[in-house]
Amino acid sequence: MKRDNGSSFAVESENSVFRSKKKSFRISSDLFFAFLVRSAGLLTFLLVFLFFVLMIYQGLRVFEFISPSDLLFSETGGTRVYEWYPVSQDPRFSVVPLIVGTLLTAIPATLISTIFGVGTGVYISEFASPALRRSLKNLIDLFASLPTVAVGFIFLTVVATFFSDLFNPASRLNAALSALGLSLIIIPQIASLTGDALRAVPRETRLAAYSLGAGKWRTVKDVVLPAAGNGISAGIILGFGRAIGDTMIVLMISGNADNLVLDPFSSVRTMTATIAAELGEVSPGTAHFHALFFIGLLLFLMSIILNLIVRALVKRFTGGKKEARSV
Amino acid sequence: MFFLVPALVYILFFLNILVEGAPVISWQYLTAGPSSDPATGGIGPVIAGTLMTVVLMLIIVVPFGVVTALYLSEYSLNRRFDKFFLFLIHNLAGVPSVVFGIFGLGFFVLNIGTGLDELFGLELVFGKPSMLWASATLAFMLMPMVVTTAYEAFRAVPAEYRETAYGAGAGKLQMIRSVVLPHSIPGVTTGVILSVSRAIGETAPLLFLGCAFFLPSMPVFDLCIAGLCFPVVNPTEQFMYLSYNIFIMSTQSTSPLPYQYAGALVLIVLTLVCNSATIWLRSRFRKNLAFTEAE
Repeated sequence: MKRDNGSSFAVESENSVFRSKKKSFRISSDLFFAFLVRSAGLLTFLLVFLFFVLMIYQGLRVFEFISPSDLLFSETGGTRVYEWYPVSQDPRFSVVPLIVGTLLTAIPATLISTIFGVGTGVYISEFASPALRRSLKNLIDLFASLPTVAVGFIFLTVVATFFSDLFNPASRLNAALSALGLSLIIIPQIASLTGDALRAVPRETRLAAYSLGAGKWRTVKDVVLPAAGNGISAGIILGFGRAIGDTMIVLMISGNADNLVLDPFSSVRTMTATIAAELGEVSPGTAHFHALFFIGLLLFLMSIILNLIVRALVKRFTGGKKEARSV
Repeated sequence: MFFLVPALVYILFFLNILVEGAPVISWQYLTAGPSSDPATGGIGPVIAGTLMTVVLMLIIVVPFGVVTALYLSEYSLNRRFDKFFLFLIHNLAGVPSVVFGIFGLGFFVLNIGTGLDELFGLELVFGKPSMLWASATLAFMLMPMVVTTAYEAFRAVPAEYRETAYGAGAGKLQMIRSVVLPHSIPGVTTGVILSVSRAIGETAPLLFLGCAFFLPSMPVFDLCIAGLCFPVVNPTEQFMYLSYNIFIMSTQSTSPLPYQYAGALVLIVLTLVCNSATIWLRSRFRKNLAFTEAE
């Protein structure tokens, strides 16, 4: 790399002998390149901006077809029903069971992943030897990028049977099983971010705790963990966002029954799985199509809100010194 | 204990796939087309379709992503505007992948595709779900990652280096070409390979963008120019995709379990190879930076 630079500078100094001849060419090519880069950058900006505008506009167009109250519940014979039956004779578009289904998988998944993820992160960053730490960190980064369809596949073929023998749930594919599947991809993420947050706690803080007579475990528990609290919370919220946004695992192993339940051992249908299962068959411009767009908008808004919380937490954690890093 | 339980689960996970899937893997399985008898069939066209889609995605995302990062780090017009731009990009990175699928169908296929058809007076060439729009959607989805990694790599090039180049009489373009790009190539490559691995593992946005479980022929046609014919991928056709194939195999088809395991094994190996490459590159990049800083 160093030699590359050297040679290009050599060429450059040769050039400068003929500078009077080449200067005008160089300036115009400079200007041209600047124009090219700026216009491509602006084009990308426009596309990104368009994405935000289009998602909001197309999502809100659902109200041309379905009234806001119908998106929450429908009334039949004086009783309110919360049902998502978009293709029946009398279509019902309540998004409530889908939101409940999403939370019923995402919240247990986040709880499980927090216990194991933070535990793993603490072990790796505080108790493992430096060499082990480096290889474990790499391994965890590998696990975080496991294809979700492979996780869904293993859970469908192996774990589901095992799970129903163990817990005897209301249906073989259920929310709790999905939560386990989701935690398989969220644990590494939370572990990795917890490790980063703990490593970012200054050495002086630890040394101060040691000098007060605290042992290793005490220091970690009472000093380092609280100091890294904001960073760890940011990691947990990112994990929660991933649990909400994941599609394939819940599509394959949550059972997809579209009724309102609160029992985590029964079959549920999530927002993402609904979009994935139905968007392929729906014809554009219908109420159903726009209802799916609206669910997409809800997911989109959730992810933005979570992202804003994470940014605020990271900013507080780093004391506003560093720009919040996207993960 | 908190560490050992997940570790054990992951080991069991990989062992299960490896033990069940490995016996099926053979050269024939990786290259042959699907057949009614699984013993003679394979996933060749599925792998080919996956690679074609990923290559097409790279053709879109690499120039756009890298140039956008270059714009943000070297040619910015207005700090405030750039901050807003980066903010949007960071938010985009967290949006669930299935939402990009909706965007791909609603914008790329139904707006741009149909618009192109009308513009050229074609009968449904662009205005349907196809490999082109699947790649474009993946590219748009992974663009934030490519932009942020490239941007960080560009920003990591020390200011002294830039000033040295200017001092030696280089123009801005020459400075970028001889200083910024060579120093940031490992970082930029990391982002690109990471995007490849994510694209290979991704399924949700492709569900309604032209994936097919079985196609009788590959989306390839012979392009003839002046008597010379060579096969060209036709991106306006449907295509087969490995992750989608695994999804359909495990939920809707009756293909024997070992073949499903083999597909999952191939998928996992592909993503693991990509991710290991990025980890290796990143550690090399760090060493490199540490080395140049120590100089």
